[in-house]
Amino acid sequence: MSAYAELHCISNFTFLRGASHPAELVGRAAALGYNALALTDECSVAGIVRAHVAARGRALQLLIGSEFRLADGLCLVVLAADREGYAALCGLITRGRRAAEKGSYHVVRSDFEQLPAGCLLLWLPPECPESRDANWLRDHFGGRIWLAVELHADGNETSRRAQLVAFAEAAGIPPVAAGDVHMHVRGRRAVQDTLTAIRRRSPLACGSTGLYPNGERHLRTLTELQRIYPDPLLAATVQIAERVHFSLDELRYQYPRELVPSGHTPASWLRYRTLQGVRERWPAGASADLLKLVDRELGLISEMRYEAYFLTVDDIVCFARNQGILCQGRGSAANSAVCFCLGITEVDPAHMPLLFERFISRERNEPPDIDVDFEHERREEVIQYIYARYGRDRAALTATVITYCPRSALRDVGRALGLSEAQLSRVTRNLQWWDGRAVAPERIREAGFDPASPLMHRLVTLVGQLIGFPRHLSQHVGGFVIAEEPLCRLVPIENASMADRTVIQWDKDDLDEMGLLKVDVLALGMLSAIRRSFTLLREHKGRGLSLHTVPAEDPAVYAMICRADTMGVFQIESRAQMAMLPRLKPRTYYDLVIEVAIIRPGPIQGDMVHPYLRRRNGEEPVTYPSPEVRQVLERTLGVPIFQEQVMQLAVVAAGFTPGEADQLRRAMAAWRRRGGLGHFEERLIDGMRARNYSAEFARQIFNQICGFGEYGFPESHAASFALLVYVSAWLKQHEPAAFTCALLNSQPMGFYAPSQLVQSARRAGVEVRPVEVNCSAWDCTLEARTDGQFALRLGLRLVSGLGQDAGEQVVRQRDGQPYRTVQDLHERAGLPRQELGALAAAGALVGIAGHRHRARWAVAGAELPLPLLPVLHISEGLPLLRAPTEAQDIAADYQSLGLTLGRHPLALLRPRLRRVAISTAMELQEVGNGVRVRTAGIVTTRQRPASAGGVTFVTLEDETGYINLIVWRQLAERQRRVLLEARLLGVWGQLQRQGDVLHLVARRLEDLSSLLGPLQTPSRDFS
Amino acid sequence: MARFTKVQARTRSGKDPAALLPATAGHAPCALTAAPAQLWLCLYLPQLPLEARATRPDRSQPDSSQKVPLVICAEQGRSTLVVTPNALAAARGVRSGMPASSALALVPELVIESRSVPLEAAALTRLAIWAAQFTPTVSSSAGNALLLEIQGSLRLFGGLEALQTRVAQGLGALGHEARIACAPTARAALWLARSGVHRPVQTILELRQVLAGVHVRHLEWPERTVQALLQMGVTTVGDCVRLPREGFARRLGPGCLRQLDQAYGRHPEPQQLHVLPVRFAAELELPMETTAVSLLLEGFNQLFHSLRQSLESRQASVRSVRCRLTHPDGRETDLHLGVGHAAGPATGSTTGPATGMGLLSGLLRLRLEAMALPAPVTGLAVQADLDSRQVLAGTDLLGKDLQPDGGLHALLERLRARLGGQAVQGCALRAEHRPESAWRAVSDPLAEFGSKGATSEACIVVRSRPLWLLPAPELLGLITGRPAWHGVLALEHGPERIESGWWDGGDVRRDYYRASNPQGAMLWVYTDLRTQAWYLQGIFG
Repeated sequence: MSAYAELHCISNFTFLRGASHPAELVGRAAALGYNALALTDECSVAGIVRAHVAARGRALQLLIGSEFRLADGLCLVVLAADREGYAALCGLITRGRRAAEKGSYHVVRSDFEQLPAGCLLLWLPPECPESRDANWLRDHFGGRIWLAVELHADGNETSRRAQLVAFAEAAGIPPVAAGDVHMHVRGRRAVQDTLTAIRRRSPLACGSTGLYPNGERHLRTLTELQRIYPDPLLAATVQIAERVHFSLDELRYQYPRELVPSGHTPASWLRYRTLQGVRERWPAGASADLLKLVDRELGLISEMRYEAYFLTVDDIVCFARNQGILCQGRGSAANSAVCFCLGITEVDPAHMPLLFERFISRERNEPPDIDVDFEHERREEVIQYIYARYGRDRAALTATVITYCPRSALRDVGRALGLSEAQLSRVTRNLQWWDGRAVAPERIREAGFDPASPLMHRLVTLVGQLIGFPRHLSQHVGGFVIAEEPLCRLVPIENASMADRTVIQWDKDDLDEMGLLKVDVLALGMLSAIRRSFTLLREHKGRGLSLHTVPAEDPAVYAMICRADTMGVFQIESRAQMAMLPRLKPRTYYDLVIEVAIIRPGPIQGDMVHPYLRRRNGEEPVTYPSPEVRQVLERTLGVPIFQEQVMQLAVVAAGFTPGEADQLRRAMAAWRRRGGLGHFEERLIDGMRARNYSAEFARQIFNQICGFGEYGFPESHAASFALLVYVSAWLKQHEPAAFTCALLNSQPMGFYAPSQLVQSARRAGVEVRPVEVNCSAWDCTLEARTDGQFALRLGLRLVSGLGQDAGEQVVRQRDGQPYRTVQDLHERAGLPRQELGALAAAGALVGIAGHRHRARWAVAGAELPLPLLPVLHISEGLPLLRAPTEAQDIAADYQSLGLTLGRHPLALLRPRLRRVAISTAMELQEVGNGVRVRTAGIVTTRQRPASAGGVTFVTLEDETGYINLIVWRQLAERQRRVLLEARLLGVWGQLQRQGDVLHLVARRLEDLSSLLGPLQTPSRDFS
Repeated sequence: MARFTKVQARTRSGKDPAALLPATAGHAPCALTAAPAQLWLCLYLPQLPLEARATRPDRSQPDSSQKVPLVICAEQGRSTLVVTPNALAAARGVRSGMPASSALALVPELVIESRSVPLEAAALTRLAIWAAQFTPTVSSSAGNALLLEIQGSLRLFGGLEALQTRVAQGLGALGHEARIACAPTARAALWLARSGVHRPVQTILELRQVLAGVHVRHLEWPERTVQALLQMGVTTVGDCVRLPREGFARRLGPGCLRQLDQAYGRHPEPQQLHVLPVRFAAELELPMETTAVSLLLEGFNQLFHSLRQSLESRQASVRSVRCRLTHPDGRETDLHLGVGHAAGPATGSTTGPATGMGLLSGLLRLRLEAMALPAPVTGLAVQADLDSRQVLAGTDLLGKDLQPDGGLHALLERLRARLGGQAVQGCALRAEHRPESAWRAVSDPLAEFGSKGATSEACIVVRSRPLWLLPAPELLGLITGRPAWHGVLALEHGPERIESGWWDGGDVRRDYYRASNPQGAMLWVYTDLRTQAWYLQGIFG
């Protein structure tokens, strides 16, 4: 049996062509006994790391290459034979990708002429190869170019083979066998045909244009290959593979060096910067303990040679601080004394002693991880700074591989199978965000199709296969890779769809695998809101605050949090968090750290919430199976809540090495996507059994790990978030006007719409003033009241349909001189009539034009003076226009501003609701546990957390408050449409009271939206 | 086809452009209470898109529109909007103007059909012809509605009530649902019909009261205008006329003001009147009974000649011609002659202006020769609907024929005439790997000719394919394990593997070979990779 190396094989990272995952190809090639497999995706190496991981520990050599279609039609495969060859390949791909629109590439012959000797080439000849091309190839790549003979049972194999071999001999280019592989097994033929149809946007049944006639483009068995190709052609494949001496393991990565001034080493410079910070943080001198801690941390950083990493983050944070951009670091290395001194984080190490040791240890050779959150509206400045500082060839964003989800797969496969757009929207409409990663037959049946029909069967099967296939590369939210050498020697860079953005071809898991360090530059709306609050307080009250100087551990703040009065507060404003707060009753900063981490899908699915609550409330004894476990779990009362604890448990209880624990962490993060914790399960349970832990405990820990999955929340992140929780809660408690103002100016963010935020502020006693063209600025502002308090003035930004430029123009031209009439406004601010209309719709012209109908009339009549002609003021009689009713005004408020300062819409409907015995939210407060009630409210949120076992949480709002609705899965299935579409939802339900927490468990739903009709069509009235 | 001619209606013209709106007018255009000079009946057909659909020619099954929820939709921009829901769909909340996807959400089993404007126009034309029995003044220019001026007809039909009843009954019998309104101006009648005011309005005074209550949505003004009015709190025509006249015109455009004036009878509104289609009909009494084709042809040629003159004078053309033969016992034989391209006065002018008619004559001869006449013939007649749209044809500047393939068309028509329409089919290529699916029959092969689907993509077929495919592959017997067809086959070329077609349930996995049998026949055979059985699929010529 002869040996074979497949040199031409594409995976599904050649989007819409390849029909197998890289790992599938590697696995199959190894199983067939191939010597080597080259992954040669078209102008891409995006799938290579996955193949590399899959090839680890297998007797299969993985070659790295790429297929190119040149602008003049010539087709080549380039293989990287050594490090230089790999760098050149990455450079070639980068050039080709950056020269074209996102998703395509452009390469010409001259791009290839520079390829070094470390690049081997295959020529994929056309139907009739020309000797001109052969000569060019031989002249430039003599000795490292082969002619690929690819035979696919088209009936002319014999003659084609003879033709190519003869041509190769004449041209002086040796022939070699290759497979043009598109799939790992023949069974992917249907998927491959479907991908082709999707790519060509032509349904399969309309003539199979461009489809391959058969499924031969798979990894064929050696026996088959031997039948097709003569031995010399097969032997050549192996000889080529033997010339390759390169594996991704050779990639070495270096952090940029320019951050260290001459005369310093990275270590001495980091020490210098840190001690600078110590003096700033503790002008009176730091404690000896702290200095010792700093010293120990610096020692560890030096030992691991992570100085450059900390300096890189320090540099970025310094830039942000100089620009006045609020930022906060989090992640394993962020919660350290060093980072506190450098200003990367504001979490005082005094609050959380010893955290750092937990996050960086000598044994776990795990790269440090610092994510930095920036104000969401100003992050772009930071990104552009990084590009400018390091250059586009050395800094780039990480890619995110966008994969097929059920909805997109259904859409594409459905089109390929010839379903009409109407049919498609019928099927996809039925899929909700919670329906998971498979298409259930019920969804098909609900859409009015028979899931057993052959067409639907094909559809569902293919969709199942396609889900998870990569579809395109997108940019990661903020993961930056910065390197000392040009990045494109490590990994190709391509254009992102956003202008001025470039991404590398690897995603964050790939980088993790390759040990490339990245800094996450993330956007966080709450930071914008907090910074704005600080600014408002400084301007209006002369009080300078920072994250660090907000008074700590204020009991009044915790009292508010325990009441779950947290609308607008960072993180703990969600339904689930609000339900937990009165039960957990956080009283300290560390309680908040736990609160942030525990209401996550991970701990909920791992069933950690209730044990923790019981132990905290003293209903259950706190026990530990061993002193080692106690050490790990003591701070969370014996219940693992943080990701770090799970890894530590694996070490102390199951005997994992730190390295294995790190692998476990990665496997945990990816097991849902990539499947299987595999051998870890056995390892963990056996390890714990061997250390005399009970089988029950072992099983429980394993289940918790599975539950954690990708949702496990690290303590290091929770610690940073908890600080923002506290600061935002403090602002809400003590400065509600400024805080609400800042929140409104930072929209969209958080769980709640401006309407809820404003209502919450008014309940807290804040006076809120309407949008007024002569008073409002673009942003919401604070206005001093005679009593020394501040009122919140809504800004023009809330007016829908008014652009920011126009809004700012209105404010600029006003400049101390109020507008007198709409005509005056029109002339001075130069607004187009449409934007004037937006102001009229918002009721912002009341002061100059009267009620909304008059304002509309005035706007419709406003005219700009013609050039050269004097302004002709037409005097008109007052029109006979009815004033809008209260209901019309409320509806118009909602339509334009999304909120009203008038009565709540339900207050107007109340008499009618009373007649059918519908209770208010406030009345529900008085009702006992288990009582059946009927109520109704405007749907403000619907939530269906993946962890909640199909439960939907709905928040209803009426004029007296909120109703927290729980809809079990069965009811949701039965009344799916009502649940999804009602804007005003009526409910028959049963009240559930747990302490102060009130829930309504729905028994029946009713769509009352028609009562709201005018809220959307302002022409009719309520009645 | 219908033709529309602009006719100035005899309404009074508006006087002073600066005059205020009628409600505040100081003088009336005519006596407020007396019978006005005109009385307009409006037949508004809200269901026309649905009703027109029932007449769709391709509908082979009985009309199901009443049994399933159905909507007629039209593309608007990038979305598909519901134009008209049927009663079942409407009962479940489907409204016109809503996106088709929302309608589907309400009624998952909803049947969606796309709107056919030509069908609607044709239906409206038919109704206009029907309505001409009530008055000569019929206008169909106001989308989905007919306007009839009936003042002069009242006496004839026994008063307004009787006339209205007859109209309503007639429409019902024709399968149309209409909202009927009656008013002294055409515009007002239209508005009232749309807003569902049935009570006839016969005087200007009454008109003012009734019009004031009409919602601005029913005026079919542009959506932007309607929105602007609603935003000012102006919801009815009455609200409109309370507004200052110049201010109204400046904000909403002079067009709306003019329509208001027209509705109130302050401004004339010319209506486009409906003109009946033109049809050519001529007959000829034969001097004696005959069955001789040559004599019949001679007679028809005379009639064709006058058809040609008629076409020339009107610059019109025909697409088809009905020839009728009358027998002594009163029976008739109809012959329908299709003319591939419209035969007009100039058709085929390279060989003389009479060729179009020559073609007709030739076709007719073929038909007559092919058929057995049931009885002697005593009279001939020719009927044709004239189509005035087709005027430009013939040759370009250099005298080149603008209609290529004239000969082919003629040949096709001739073949069809001789063998019957169904017997002549074309054959086109399809881009398909499965040989049995790689071609398809087409009714008009010439239409396929040069169209892109046929030529550019279908080149899969070319290599080593036999022109003669068996209707279905034939299972081959085996002799000593080798396939045989009139003797053991020798496989000469192959295999060519074809694995394709899974998407329609006809997945094949085959290895094809070219084979010869002892008689020297070249055969195209394959082995089914699933069953290993051998089949013969084609024979090389």
